[in-house]
Amino acid sequence: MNTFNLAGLLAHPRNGGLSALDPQQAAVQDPWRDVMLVIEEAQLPNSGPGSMAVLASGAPAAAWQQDALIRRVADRGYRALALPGAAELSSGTRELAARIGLILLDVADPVALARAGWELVEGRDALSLAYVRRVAQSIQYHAESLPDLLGHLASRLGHGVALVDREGVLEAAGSPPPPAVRAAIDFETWSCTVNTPEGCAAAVTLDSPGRRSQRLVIGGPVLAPQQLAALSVAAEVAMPAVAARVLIDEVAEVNDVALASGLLRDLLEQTDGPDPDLLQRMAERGWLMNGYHLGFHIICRGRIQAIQLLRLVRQELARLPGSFHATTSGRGVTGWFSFTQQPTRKALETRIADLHALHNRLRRSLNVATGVGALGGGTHGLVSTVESAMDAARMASSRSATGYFLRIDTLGLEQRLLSWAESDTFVPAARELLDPLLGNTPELLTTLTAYLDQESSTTATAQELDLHRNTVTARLARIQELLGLDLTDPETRLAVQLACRAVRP
Amino acid sequence: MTQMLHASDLPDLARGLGLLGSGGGGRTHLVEMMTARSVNWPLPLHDISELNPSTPCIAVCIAGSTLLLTERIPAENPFDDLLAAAQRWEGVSPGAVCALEGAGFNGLVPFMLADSLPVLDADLMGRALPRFDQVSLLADGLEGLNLFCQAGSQGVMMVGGACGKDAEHLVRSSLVSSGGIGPVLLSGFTVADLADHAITGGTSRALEWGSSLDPGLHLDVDEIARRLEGRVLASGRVAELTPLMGDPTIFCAEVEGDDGAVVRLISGSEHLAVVRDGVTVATCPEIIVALDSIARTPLEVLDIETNQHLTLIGLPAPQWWQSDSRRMAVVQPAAFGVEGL
Repeated sequence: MNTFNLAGLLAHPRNGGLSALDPQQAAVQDPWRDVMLVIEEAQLPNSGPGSMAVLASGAPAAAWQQDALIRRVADRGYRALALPGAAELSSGTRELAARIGLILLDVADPVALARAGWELVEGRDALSLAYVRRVAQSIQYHAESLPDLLGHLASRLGHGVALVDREGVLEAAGSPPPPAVRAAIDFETWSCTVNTPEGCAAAVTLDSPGRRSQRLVIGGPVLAPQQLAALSVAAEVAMPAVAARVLIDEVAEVNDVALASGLLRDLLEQTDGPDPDLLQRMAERGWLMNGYHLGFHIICRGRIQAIQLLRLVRQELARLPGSFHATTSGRGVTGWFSFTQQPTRKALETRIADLHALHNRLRRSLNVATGVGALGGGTHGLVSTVESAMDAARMASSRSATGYFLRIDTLGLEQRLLSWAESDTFVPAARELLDPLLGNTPELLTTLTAYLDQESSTTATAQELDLHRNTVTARLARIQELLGLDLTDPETRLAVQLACRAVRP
Repeated sequence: MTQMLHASDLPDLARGLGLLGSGGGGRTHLVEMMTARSVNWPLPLHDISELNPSTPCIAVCIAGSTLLLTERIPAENPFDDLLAAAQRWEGVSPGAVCALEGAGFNGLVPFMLADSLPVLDADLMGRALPRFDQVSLLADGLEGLNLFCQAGSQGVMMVGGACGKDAEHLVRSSLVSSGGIGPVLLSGFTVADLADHAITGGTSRALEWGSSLDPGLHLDVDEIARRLEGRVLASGRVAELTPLMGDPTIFCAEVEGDDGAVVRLISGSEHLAVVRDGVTVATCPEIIVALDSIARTPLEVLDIETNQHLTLIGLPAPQWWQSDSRRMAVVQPAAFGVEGL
C-alpha cells in the first residue's frame, strides 16, 4: 500500500502553504495512508490509522469548540489535522493536540494540500506527470543561457536544479545541493536518487561531449520516496534540454570568440589604420576606438586550449571594475582595458597589478607568460598597445627571472628589436640567409658578427677576435663569396647583423 | 412534618444556597444579616404538601446585578409595594411564599416575608439561573402569571399574563431603569401548580449541604465532592481567561489540569460547562462548583482569576429540568449562546 509522510508533504512544492505548528512535528516520518478533505468536521468519516484530515472551513472561534474539534478528529482515528488558521488556535488547544497525539498543521489552500497528498499517496504517476509537464512548460519559455534555463526549471518544478561534477556545483538555480548530497551522488550510474538527512536529490548523467562526469541534480530538503522517484523522471526528461543548451552555449561562445579573434587579426594587419568596414564591425562588437587602451597578451604553453584560457581570463577580469575586451589570438589570449579619459599613473598601475595578480593565479595551474603593452590612445594606440603586449609576452616566456610577466614600458628599444629578431618568423629567415656559414665554418659567423658589431672595422675586429688583420680581411672576402651579399649596402648590413643575433647560439 | 428553621441555621443554609448558585446567585451575606434581624425566629419551612393546594402563592427575588446589592442596600420591606399591587390585581391575598430562584442570596429572600406568609420549601429554578424565561412556571408556559417589579424610582410595573422571553425583556428593562437591581414578585399560581411546575425541597437540601460542609471540618476536596454526591471534574491552575468573541458576558477559563489535561471552564453569570481534553464533562443545568483548592470555598464567576488553583466539582442537575427536552432547551448552554458543546 502506498504511504506518504509529513516531511514529504511539507517538501511538496504545491502543498497549499502547509506548515507544522510544532517544528518538532515537521520531522515526523511515520507513514500515512490517506488524506481526507471535507468542508465541515461533521462530514469527516471514521478513519483507519495514519490518515490526515483536511478541514476547509477552518477552526471555530471559541477555545472549547477548538478543543472539541481536535478531540473528535483524533477520536475518529486521524493522525493529523490541517486547517486554515491553525496558527490562530489557542495555546491550550495546541497543547491538547500534542497531548492526544494529533499533529496540527496550518494550510492556506486546503484543496491544494489535498491534491498534494493525493499525488503522494495514490497518484504516483500523476506526480511524475505533473513534474514532466512542468519541465515541458519551462522548456517552452525562451532561455537566454544555461543559468536562465536552470532558473526556469527550478521555478516551475519548485525544487533546486543544479549542474554538478565531482568537484562541486558548476551552475545552480534555487538552493544548490549541500555537500553531503553531492558526496552521495553515484557518478558511475546513469541516474540515481540520494536520500540523506541533509537533503534529497535525483541525479542524472548529462549526456554531452566533454561533460561525461557531470550530473543534472534536482532536489531539496526532505522528500518522500515517491517525490524522489517522480523527480528522477523529471530530471531524465529535462536532461536533453539542458545538454542541448550547454552545447548551444558552447557553440555560440566558440563562434563569438572566433569572430572577435578574426576582427582583432584584421585590425592588426591593416597597417594604414582600420577601414570603415572594419570600424563598423568593431563598433558592433562594442570595441570603442576612442579613449585610451592598455593591451595585454597571455601565452599558454600547456595543454589548455586558448578558448578555455579565455574563459578563465574573462571570469577573473569580470570581477574587477572597469571595462575590458579579450579574445583568443593564436595559442594565447589578447585583450585590453579601455579608459574614456587618460588614466592617472595610479589607475594604470592598479590595472597592471590586477593583471599581474591574474597572471600569478593562472600560473598556479598553467604554464603561462603574460606581456603588458604601453598605454595608447585612439585606434592607432589600440593597435600599438596590443602589438607591444604580444612582443612583451613573447619575451616574458623565456624570462623566469620576471616570473614570466613583462611590461613593455620597462624595456629599452633595443631589447624590443632584439625580441622581434628572435621571433619565430625571423629566426628561420635568418638561418636561411646565413646557411652557408652555419655548416663547418663557425669561425666565419663569429667573424661576421664581430665585424658588423665593430662598425665594419677590420682592425677593431682583429683586435676583438685576437687575429691578424689580414686574416679578418680574408675571412670577410670568403664570407662575401659564400653569402653572395654586398656588405657595403647599409640595408643588407642591418639585415645580416640582425640575422647574426637571431642565430647566435 | 414541618421543619423549623433557626437563626443559627442561616450560615449553613447560606453556604448551601451558595453551592446551588453554581458560581452565580450573588453573595448571601447581606440578605443573611437582613433576615436574621427582621424575622421572628424560629420559623417553619413548609413542604408543599402541608398547605391547601388551592392556596394562592407568590414567588419573590431580588433581580439584577448582584454586585449592586452591596451598593444599593434594599429597603427593609422591599416587597410591600409589589405585594399591594399584586393583591389589588389578583383580588386575593397570597397564602404562601416561595423563592423564585432557590440559590444564592435569593434563596433567603422569601424569609423577608416569613412574618406574614408561610415559606414553602420550593423554588422556580432549583439552582441559580440568570433569566426570567428560565423560571420553571414560565418555561412550562403556565397561563395567568403576573410579574411585578419596580418601575423607575417610583411605581410598580406589572407584566400581566407573563410569558417567557417577553417577560424577561420587559422586567430586565424595567430593572435597568430602576438602577440595575430591584425586587421582583411573581403571582397568579397556587401551591398545586408548584407540585408539577417547580423544584421542591431545595431549601432543605441547601441546609443539609451547608451543614455537612462546615468549614470547621477542614474537609479535603474529594470528601467535599462525596458529601455533595458530586464528582470532581478537574483540578488545576487557571492559565488564561478569554471572553467569547461576540459576547463578552461569556468567558472561558483555560485550566491547566494537574494531570496534564486541558480543561475549559465556560461561565456566564454562572458556570455553564466544563470541557476536559475536548470532551464536555458537565453542562448547565448541572451545578458546577468551582472551589478554590486551597481555601476550599466556592468561587463566584467574577472571583476567578489567572493562576488560581481550582477544583471543579459537578453536582447533579435538578431532575425537574432534565425530565423534559423542552425544559432542557431553556437551560442548556446553547440557550446562553454557548455553542458547540
